[in-house]
Amino acid sequence: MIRYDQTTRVAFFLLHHNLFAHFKPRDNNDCGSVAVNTRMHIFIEHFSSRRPQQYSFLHHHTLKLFCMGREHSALRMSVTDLRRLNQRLLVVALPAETLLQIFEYLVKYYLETSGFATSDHYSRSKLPKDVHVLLVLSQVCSAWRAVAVNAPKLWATVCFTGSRASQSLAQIFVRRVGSRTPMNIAMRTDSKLQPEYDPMSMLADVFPDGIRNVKTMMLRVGYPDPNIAILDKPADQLESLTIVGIKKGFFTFPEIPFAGSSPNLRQLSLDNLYIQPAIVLKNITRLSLSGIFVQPLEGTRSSIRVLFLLKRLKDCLGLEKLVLSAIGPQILKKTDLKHIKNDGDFPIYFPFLREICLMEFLSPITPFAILKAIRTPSLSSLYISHGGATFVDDIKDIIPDEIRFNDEAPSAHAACISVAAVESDRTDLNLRTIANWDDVHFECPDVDWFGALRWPYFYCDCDACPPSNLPHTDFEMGTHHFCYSAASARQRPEYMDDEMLVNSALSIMMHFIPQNISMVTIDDALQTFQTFPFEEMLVHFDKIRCLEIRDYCDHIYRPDRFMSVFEEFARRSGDSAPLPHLEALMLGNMELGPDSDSQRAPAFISLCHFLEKRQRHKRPLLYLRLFHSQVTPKMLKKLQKLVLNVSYDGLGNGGATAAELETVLAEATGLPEGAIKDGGGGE
Amino acid sequence: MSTTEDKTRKVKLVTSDNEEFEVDWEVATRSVLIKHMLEDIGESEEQAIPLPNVTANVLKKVLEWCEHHRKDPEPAPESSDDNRKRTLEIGDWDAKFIQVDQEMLFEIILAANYLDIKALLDVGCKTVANMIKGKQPEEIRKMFNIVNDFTPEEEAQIKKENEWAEDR
Repeated sequence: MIRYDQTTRVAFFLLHHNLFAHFKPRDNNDCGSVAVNTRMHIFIEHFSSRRPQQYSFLHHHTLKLFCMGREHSALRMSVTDLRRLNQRLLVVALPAETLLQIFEYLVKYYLETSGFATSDHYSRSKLPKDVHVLLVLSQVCSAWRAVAVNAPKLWATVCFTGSRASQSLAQIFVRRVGSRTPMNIAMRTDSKLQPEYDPMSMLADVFPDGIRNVKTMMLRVGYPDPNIAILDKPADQLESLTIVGIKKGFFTFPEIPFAGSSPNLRQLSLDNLYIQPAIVLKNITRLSLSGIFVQPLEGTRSSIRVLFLLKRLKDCLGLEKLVLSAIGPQILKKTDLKHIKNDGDFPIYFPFLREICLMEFLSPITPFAILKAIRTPSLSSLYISHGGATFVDDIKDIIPDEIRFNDEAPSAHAACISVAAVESDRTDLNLRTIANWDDVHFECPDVDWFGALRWPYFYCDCDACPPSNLPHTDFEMGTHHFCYSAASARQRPEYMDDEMLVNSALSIMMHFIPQNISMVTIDDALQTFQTFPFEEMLVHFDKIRCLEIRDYCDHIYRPDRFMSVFEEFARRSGDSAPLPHLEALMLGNMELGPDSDSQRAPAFISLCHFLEKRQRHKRPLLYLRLFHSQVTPKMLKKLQKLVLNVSYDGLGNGGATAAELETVLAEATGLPEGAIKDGGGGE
Repeated sequence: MSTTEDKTRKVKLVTSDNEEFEVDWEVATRSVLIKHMLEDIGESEEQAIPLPNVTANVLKKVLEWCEHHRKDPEPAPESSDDNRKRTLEIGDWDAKFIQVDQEMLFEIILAANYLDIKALLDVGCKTVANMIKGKQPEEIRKMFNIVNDFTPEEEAQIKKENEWAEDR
């Protein structure tokens, strides 16, 4: 039997009842005529009044026929008729607040994905998707348009680029927002293309009386000597201001921004600008200054002194976060520190300052001086990065004694110290700095560590070395998980040999990572596996319940040395189970099969010795996961006897086939094939 | 605050097409409207709650959702709306539940709105938002059988807006 779709069935129904003719145009002259429209309404009213249950179905598909007809110019109806038709559709007739909720979901989704809160949103010159989706929603039908254009909060994010068209569109947005809804302004400028017009000038045109109802403003300025009139007018509701100069010297931030009328401004971020020496900064709680240079009255441009800048922050007693990056000139001599002692303005108290980030300083003395000049009883996070310097022999040369973390903070501290080479001939000095970090002891014994602690971290500018692949050590207290990653030989700095990497790993383990963590992951390069201090690590973290070892490049390697450490633990444990707290082993990229030359498999044998001893002492390993590893079916059978649950999910080259292994494990565990591959090898 | 007695209580609901449903108090009170009505009528167990804006087939579906979510915590206050609206993700069960034809989808949304079941309304709205996501006006019209009902003046304005949007 032929099954027709519902629209076709409705067409048959209409034909059968001779109803189609009522609203089908009789000839070309009849298209869109009053007679057709009238007949159409008679038809609709007839069904909606007499057969309400069937009406919806009929209406839906009749309308579809009409749409098809309209597309082919066969039927034309007046706008009023079309609106009446649309109103009978549930999607159009939804309550305005429900329709608005749907629209809000879409706008917020696109705002979130285009990252309005981050620089991503305004680092391109194209219209963001949240603007596009608003245009789309308001162009579907008159009812949707009415809901959209009458909802000011939908249009609250206004975007400018460097074209006149963007100004016209922005003006529409501003008109639709009205004067009561707080707005966000983003100025997007491509760093490579100079804009057609000065977007700041457009901003001044669109807001001739100032940005009185703007809450957030993010400006990326790429036009030389922009019109900054907007920064001289009141901004009563402004809470957050971010300005980035694409190039140095485009912009001088006013001495008294917004004519002193920005009572709600709490977050200020300035990057690559000049500032006036007497700049007034009041009530800021989150301040980020980067690449800031001072423009003295004489007109000669020079850098601002960091300590001078600190003095300008005296009126920001509520400061909670301070980020200073590449601000100069920098204090290059220790003797400069005497100024701090002799200056009555120092130290400056910031009772609420919790987070300090000092970056891209040429010398460790600059961040040292900043820290020396302030008192921060609430500090819980400190990040310092600086270039190497000859006189750093001690941690006390980087962090002054006066700095104290708040040991009553409920959620602890993060400390990240990054020592980067600014010149190639200084790398040896960096090493000295690193070596001295072994002496670091933060005075926060009762507080959990929190966030990421990276050690060591080497910055590299080349394209081949994305930062995530550089050697670093992450420790997250939240998961009680210590993860050590090191660089491959190619990425490793020339001076960094295996021994140094090993020492740095040991250093961070001994000094920074609590011994009671529950899991360790070593995600490392093949080369390091030959030297990594597995034994010392397992002694230090003797309470870990899970150990994961893998090669981060997914190379297969023979883990003979690593497994021999397990065997050694088994040998030394005497009458007790070796590593009794260890419950799970996750081994990746391991070649456990016999060597093709010797036909021996020392790694497998060592592992079995360890597992047998655990089993003998009634503490069998609970879980063993092998992934991207080479094992034979026979070996897996043996492992399955020694470990409660074995999971195998991946093969290296040259091993048994996945099907074979699954069959073996399925037989051994009694579970159906496939369950094992999904990690379902047991309870 | 619900008591143990409340949780064992049954509630009668009567739909617009006069079908009666007897459900657990905990299930029925996922709807703020029903909850308030129950508070108004007090202990009277026999009294049925009339729901003149909901048909039986829609209420059945709504109650299926309420049953599954009966143990969910109370809806978050209005202030968390912003966070909720930043994602269009729907839970697995909800996504399967809402796989219905368009008519039923909108009926569910209308019922959730009428019965004041915020979480169900969210699921419905997110589903529609996901259907719209990434589509052009013409595609949206086609999907929902909406006809283009703009006046020539509105069409001209829309054309202008699109030109401005393109000229970036």
